[in-house]
Amino acid sequence: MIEVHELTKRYGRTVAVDGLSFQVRPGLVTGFLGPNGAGKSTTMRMILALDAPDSGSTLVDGRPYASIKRPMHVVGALLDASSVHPGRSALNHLRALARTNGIGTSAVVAAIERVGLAGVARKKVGGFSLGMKQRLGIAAALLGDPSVLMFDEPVNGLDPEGVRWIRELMRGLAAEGRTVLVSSHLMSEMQLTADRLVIIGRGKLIEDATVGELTDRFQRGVFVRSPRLDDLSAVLTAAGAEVAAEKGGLSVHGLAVPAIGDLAAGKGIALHEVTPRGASLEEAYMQLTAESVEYRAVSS
Amino acid sequence: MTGLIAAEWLKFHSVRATRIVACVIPASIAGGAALTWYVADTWDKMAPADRDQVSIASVEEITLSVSQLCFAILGVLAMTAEYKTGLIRSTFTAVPSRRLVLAAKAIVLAATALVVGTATSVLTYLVCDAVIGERPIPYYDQPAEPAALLTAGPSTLVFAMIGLGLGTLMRSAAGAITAIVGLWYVLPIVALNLPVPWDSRVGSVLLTRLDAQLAGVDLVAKYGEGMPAALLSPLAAAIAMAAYIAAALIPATLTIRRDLR
Amino acid sequence: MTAVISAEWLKLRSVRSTHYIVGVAVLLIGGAALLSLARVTAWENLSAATRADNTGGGTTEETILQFMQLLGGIVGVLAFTSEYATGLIRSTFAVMPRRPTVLIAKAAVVAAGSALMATVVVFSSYGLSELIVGDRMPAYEPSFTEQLPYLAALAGSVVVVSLLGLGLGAVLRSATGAIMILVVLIFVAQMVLLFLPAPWKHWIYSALPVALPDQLTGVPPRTAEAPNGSAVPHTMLSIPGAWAFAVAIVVASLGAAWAAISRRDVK
Repeated sequence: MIEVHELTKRYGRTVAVDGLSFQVRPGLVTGFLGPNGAGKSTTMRMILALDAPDSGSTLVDGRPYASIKRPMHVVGALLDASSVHPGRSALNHLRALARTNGIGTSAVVAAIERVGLAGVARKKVGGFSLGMKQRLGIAAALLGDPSVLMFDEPVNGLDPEGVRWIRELMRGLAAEGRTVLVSSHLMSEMQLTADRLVIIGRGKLIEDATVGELTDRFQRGVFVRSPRLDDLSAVLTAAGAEVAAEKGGLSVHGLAVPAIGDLAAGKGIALHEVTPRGASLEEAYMQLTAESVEYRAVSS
Repeated sequence: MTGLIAAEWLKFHSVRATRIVACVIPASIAGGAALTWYVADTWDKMAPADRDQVSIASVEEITLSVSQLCFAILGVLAMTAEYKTGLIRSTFTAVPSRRLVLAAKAIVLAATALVVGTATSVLTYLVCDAVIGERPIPYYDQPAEPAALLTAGPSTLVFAMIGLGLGTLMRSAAGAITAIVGLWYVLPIVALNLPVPWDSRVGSVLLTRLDAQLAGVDLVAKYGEGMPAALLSPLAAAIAMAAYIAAALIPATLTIRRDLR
Repeated sequence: MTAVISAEWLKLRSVRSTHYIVGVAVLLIGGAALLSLARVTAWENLSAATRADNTGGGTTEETILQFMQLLGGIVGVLAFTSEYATGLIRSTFAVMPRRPTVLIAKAAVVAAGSALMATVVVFSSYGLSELIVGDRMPAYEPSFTEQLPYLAALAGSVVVVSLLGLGLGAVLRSATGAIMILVVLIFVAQMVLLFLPAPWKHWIYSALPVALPDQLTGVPPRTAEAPNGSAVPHTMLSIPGAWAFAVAIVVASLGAAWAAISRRDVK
């Protein structure tokens, strides 16, 4: 469980995080979404007591992070995978982190095996690919078998196989009842991974909802084709749907597929196509954050 | 090439280290002037009979040491800062001929070192000489040899090139700066302790003594008997300087093609 | 605490810069041996008259002191700056949010590491020089037991500088800046002091790392004249004064580091 309460952080005159409140619950993968510069990393650093908030507070499992004696057993975090000393071996990097929290070498070896780096454990990190560094960072997060996990943009720069591996890892961790917070600026990725979404822009909370709720809210209706479009349109409108003509058919909002079928059958109208259109969360996300995009390419 | 030099110049003058150096060198001149003023003031307050005890060493030597070290560090950072931040990848992608990049950096550094080194020395002399004025205080009682002031530029240049060479070779600021301190401080100790005649043979080619020999200044007369004799003619000193630059930059051009990490 | 210290020890010994520093320290021992050989050869070639008003210089351990101090200082500087440069500091503080614990552990490891290095270098240089020189030069006449406190003070001054380096690294977060300040304090300041008027130059000299061993063990001020006739800077502090000053450097350095790491965000 992570609780963020009225968090505010300024850098000079820029407000990076502005009165942000949300909760991250156990047993779910929570996606932390926002455009670049929205304040995701800053928020995560404040949860980890790396940056001091100007006001507000954060709690992890009911405690301020800084008061946790051996935090690796409570929280595992992957912030920036390339934040490692290039001259040190993967094994020594993890052993040094593990020792501070009284974690033994056997747990280190287990973590290295879990992320698939056993073959290169004694190699210098400087020679690792980005994907290998991501795996190393995830091994560090898993060292203490923590109940809370935080990943900052974990799939950046990964190949499809790596992306899928991380996705399944996160879902597995949540299924074990852990709290998982994953930041990303890509809705398409979060749609596949997250159960719940916390969307921020310019440091403010824009949306805090489950993926299902958002999907419902941003339904794009049902596309219907029929030889008797005008009749069908009248029937559906009478039943309370919003109907709009589209190339070769109708776009129907406010009625589900079975209801449309029943109404048409009742009037003896043949249907040639009934296609429910899934919500485009990508588009919803663009709409939600349009106001708050910090760096936008100027279209000419 | 001019575009490359312009780019390197932009990088050079837009980093924090250059700004710090741009403060340190004028501060050293101001400090030297304050020191000179203190000596002149002491002389004024003394009884005329005691005044011949007062002397001051050439303040240009202090400010020269400062500009030499500053430019050695700027030379080191010109490369190591790019390796540290990963900017070097963009630099070498934009200009795949790495030796050209090194050459552009060398040109920017050399030109700046030459100008700033000479200016520092000349300015220090002018300020300190003006402060002493008509008082017969050695060393400022006699006009300076212009050659001794002007060789500050080339000697600062040599330090900058050694910094650049070591920075390229070692890719680590801490390592390269330590090596420069070794050259600048440890070698003279070693040289002073060598048996005769090797002390003067080695001592003559020390980096810190080349500028005086290039100007044709008699070091033994200046420092007294404790110093091993200087053996190099101005031409030989110039060749020794060129050899230092070659020794720093040739290994750098050979190793700059190593893989990036 | 011991867990954090052992983690910091692992970090220190698992990077290349530490291996290089150990390598340079070994070279320093070899250099010291060659230096004492050169000195005793030069000394024996001097005429008896010249020898009478000359000491032949100090011991080689004294000569290499400043370079040992620089090496120790760099060990201290890199403890924080290498972590800030790579971003590793975020992981370090995330897994150990009580940052003063990290500072204390780093200080313990840096002090122990530099003490180990300095002790090995000082005593091996001393041993080699004794073997090479024997009783042939005045500087080597005192017995080992007489020399012991001074040798320990040489090594102790390296530890003080290493902790000063730790503080500089934590405050500046830049290896270049911190090492340059060390170079100025260890090497450059002394040269500039020659130009300053007395008694300032003596007081400033007394505060420099190079003056610590003499003052800690009560070696009388080494007065001498520079070629231009002015006095070479000499030590001023009493033994208690010197000990208090050494402790003050360490406390101030660690205090500044503590303030820097606790008050500032880790970007």
